[in-house]
Formats: sequence, structure tokens, C-alpha cells
Amino acid sequence: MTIVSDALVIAGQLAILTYNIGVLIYMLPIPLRSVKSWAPRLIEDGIYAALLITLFSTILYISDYIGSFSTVSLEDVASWINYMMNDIILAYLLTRIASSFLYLIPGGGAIASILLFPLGFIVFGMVSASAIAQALVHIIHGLKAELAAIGVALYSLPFRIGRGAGASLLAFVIIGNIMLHYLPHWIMLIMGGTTSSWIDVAYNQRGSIETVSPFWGLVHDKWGDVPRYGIVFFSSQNITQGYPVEADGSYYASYVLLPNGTYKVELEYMGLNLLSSKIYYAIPNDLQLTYEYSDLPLKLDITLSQNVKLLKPQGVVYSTAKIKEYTLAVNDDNNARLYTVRLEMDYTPYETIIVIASLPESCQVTMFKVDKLASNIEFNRTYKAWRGVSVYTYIYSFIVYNTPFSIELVYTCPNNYIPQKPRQPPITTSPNKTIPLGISSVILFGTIYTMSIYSYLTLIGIMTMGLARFLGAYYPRIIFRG
Amino acid sequence: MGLAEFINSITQTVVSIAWGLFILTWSIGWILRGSPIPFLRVKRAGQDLIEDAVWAAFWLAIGSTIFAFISYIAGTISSEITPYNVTTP
Repeated sequence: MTIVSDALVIAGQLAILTYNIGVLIYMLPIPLRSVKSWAPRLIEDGIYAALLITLFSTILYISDYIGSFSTVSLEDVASWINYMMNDIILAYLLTRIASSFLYLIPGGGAIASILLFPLGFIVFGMVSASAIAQALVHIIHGLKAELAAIGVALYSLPFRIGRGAGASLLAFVIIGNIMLHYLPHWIMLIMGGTTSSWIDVAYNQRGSIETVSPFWGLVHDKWGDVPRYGIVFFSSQNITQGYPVEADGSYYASYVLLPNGTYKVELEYMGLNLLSSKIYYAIPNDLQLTYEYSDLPLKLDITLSQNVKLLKPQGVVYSTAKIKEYTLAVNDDNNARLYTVRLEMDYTPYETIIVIASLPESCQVTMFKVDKLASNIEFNRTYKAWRGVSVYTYIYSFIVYNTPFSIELVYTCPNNYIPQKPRQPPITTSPNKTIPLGISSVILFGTIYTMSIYSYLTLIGIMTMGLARFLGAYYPRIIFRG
Repeated sequence: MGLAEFINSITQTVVSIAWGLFILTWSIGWILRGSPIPFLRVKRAGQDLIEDAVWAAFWLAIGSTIFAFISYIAGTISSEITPYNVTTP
């Protein structure tokens, strides 16, 4: 017998007792409304408590399930907070040790204490916030079933003695178990790093701005086709850096080095901006050591999103629908080459789909066909100047009645067409200056970190109170104070 | 004797008291209703007592059925949702 099964058995007995006391009061030969009004209330309470007891494991399972959407386990959260705390304390100790030399100078102690005051202030906030969050994570992780079972047992006590406490405890376990999974996401959201690989950001947020080794990589779509020339842009909050893509689809981030950080990666090709499938890349964590070039050992391959298909000899199709499969047939005419591209796509029926094809001036679309069509195809052709290359974009919008559907695009290009090269991107474009790691950014980081943890705890508190009220507590209490 | 058994024994006492009270309340109700007192309020109270006693006897008799029904319903829901078997106390 564990605490959980013990508490549940006791809760079950208490629920039956509550119910029967209700019936007893119902039977009392005292015709007083104030006494009799307890009877239906107690019967009801007994039934609700029995429902909670039997659904006990289901409720916990549902909260675990919702928490698992964060892709982070509570152990991960605990170790992440621990890691942050270690860093903070280590940085503080190192600063203290470094400043201890100031004490050797006469009067240096006063200067040192002035310098250390804001740091000590920040460290105190960060460490206490981390400690509270970590304690909560450990409580929920280690004791969620036990606390919930005790909560249910309190809830089942007759005459609503433990109803408020039980409902509060149960609500705390359910809400805490769900929401603490998302704590790192929340902190990263407030700190401005929204990314799928949050631990990378946590790693990179630590403020180092040193440059990394040069790297190179291939840009390709989901099927492995590469763009013929183009520009790949790495942009973060502080910097936007473009690198030219060569005719074989490779780019070299070597003539201007990219600082560490998280970057949004886009390919500019034939006058269109195409997103990568991962959207955010962390440097240096996403770089791979391949040694394909001895002077450029690091590699970062970029896969374009599934809405993009790169065309031969130079061109691209972008669609708002996801492209599932494609086939390409090439037929040679006497002086022109005929390309037939079939794309199979998936999308919600009866919603407008936009397909954009971008081709050089000397190529021409001769046919565009859609099966399962539910509307007219609206067509628009515009001229675009793309850094020295003349490009025509063909925009089609239509509606289909069923999915998956397929489109057929036929275009001709001259036999001897050679892909054209756009002008070089500017060496560097940084609209914002990079913020040097100074005392103000330390204070900002510390304040934001502390504030985000406390604000999240407040959120958990509010949600807990709401759920506890829903479960039947008239004056819900939260277990912790943020 | 564990806590669960203790509560169980209290429940049994409560149930037997309730059955005893049923007879009492029912007869008091009939006494009030049939008493030769020409006050409508007294007769009304007697009528209420009889009704309460009958209803309470109904709830008392159906009690174990209700709890069995709840655990059956909850068991169906939880076996739909949770991948593992849920043990009900």
C-alpha cells in the first residue's frame, strides 16, 4: 500500500460516509429547513467526491499529456533552472573574487561595494526566483500523485470541512503539472528568443559575442534540388547578413564571420523570399563538423520549407499549400526545351490557394492546369527586377473541392539557357548595433529573468485559483507565494 | 484497525441509525398527520416528514448502486482516455 492508494481508499470511504450522513440528515424527524438543507448538499458532495476518486488517474494522465506537448520533461526544466542558477552564482563569485583585488588599494573597498551593489541585487533576485521555481518543479515532479490523492481525500470529508483545501491542492497539482512544463518557453518568450530548440537559445543567451569559425553549406529543397545562384540571409535581432549562393547551391559564410546566436534563415531566389523548413538556426550549435573542406570543416545545410520546389534550369514554384510529391518531365524541341512539372499538394478544401512561379525572362509558362478545381484560376503576371536578373512571376489563385490535388505547370526555356547570376549582396547590413555586454545589459537580463519567473508563478497562481473555484472551493488558496 | 476500516465502521453505524430513523420519522409523520389537532401547519409538517423519510429511504437503498454506477461510468471514460488500466478503489 502506498500513500496514494491509501489516501484513495480513505477518500472512497469518506465519500460513502458523506453520502450516508446526507441521507441520515434527510431522515431526521426535525422539520427545520436549516438542518434539512444540508441533506441534498451532502448527498451531492458524496457523489462528486466519488467521481473525482474514480477519475483520479485520468485527471493526472490528462495533465501529463497536456504538459508533454511542451516536448520538455519536468526533469529537463529542473536541470535547466539548476544550470542557470549555477551560472549566475558562478558569475557572481568570479566577480567577487576579481573585485577582491580592489580591497588591496586603500579606499578600494568603497569602490568595490559600489560596483558590486547592483550585481548583488540582481543575483539575489535571480537566485531566489530560480530556487522557488525549482522547489515547485521538484514538489510537483516527486509528489504530484500523493498531493492529488490527499487533496481528493480532503475533498471527500463530510460537511465540506476540507473542500476548500482539497480543491486548492488538487488544482495546484493539475495546473502546476501542466504549466511548469512550459516555464522555459515562457522565459525564452519574454527574453525574445522564440525558437523550437530553446536550450540552444538558453545557451546562446549567455551573452558571449565572440565570432565563430567560418562555415559553409548547401541550400536545397525537400527533394534535394539546389538553387542556381541566389542569396541566403541570416538575420537575428541585431544583424542581417547575406551570403551569395553559387551555381551548385553552396554558400560560404567565410568572408564575413557570423557572431554566435539564433538566426532566421531565408533564401532570396528569383525575387522571392523563401523560408527554410527549420526557420531558426542556432550558431554554433547547429553546425556540423564534416571536414569536407579542410579550411572549412563546419557545415550547415539549409532545407527549404515544404511549400517550395526549385525548378530547372533556374526558377522556383512557391505554394501556400504543402507540396507532397513532384514529377518532372523534360522534352527537347528544336530550339526550346519543354519542362512539365506535376506537383501533388495537400490543403484545406474551399480555401484560396496561391501558387507563385518565378522564371527568368527568356522562359515562358505555356500551360497551368489544376485537377479537382472548384473555381476559376485567377492569373497575374508581373515583371520583377531581381538584382540584375530579369524575372517574371506568375501568380495563380484558385480553390479546390478536394484534397490532395495536383497541379501541372508546363514552361519552355531556350536550349542553351545558362543560369544568370544576381549582384552580390552588400557585405554586411546591420540596422541595429550589437549591444555590448555591459553592466546595463546584465541588470536588464537579471531583471527580465526574475520578472519572467515571478510573472509565471503568478499566472500559475491565478489558474490554480480558477480551477479550485471550479472544483468547488469558495475561498481558494494557493500553496506557494511567488 | 486502519483509518479506512474506522471510517467504514462509522458509515455502517450511520446507515443503521438511518434505517432506525426511517421507522421513527415515518411513524412521527403519521402521528402528526393523524393527530386530532385542527392546525394545518402541524399536519403539513407530518406530511413533510413522511415524504422526507420515503425519499431518504430511496436514496439509502440506492446508495451502493449509485457508487457502482459512478465507478462504471468513470471506468469507461478513463479506459477510453488512458492507455493503461485504471484501478478504482
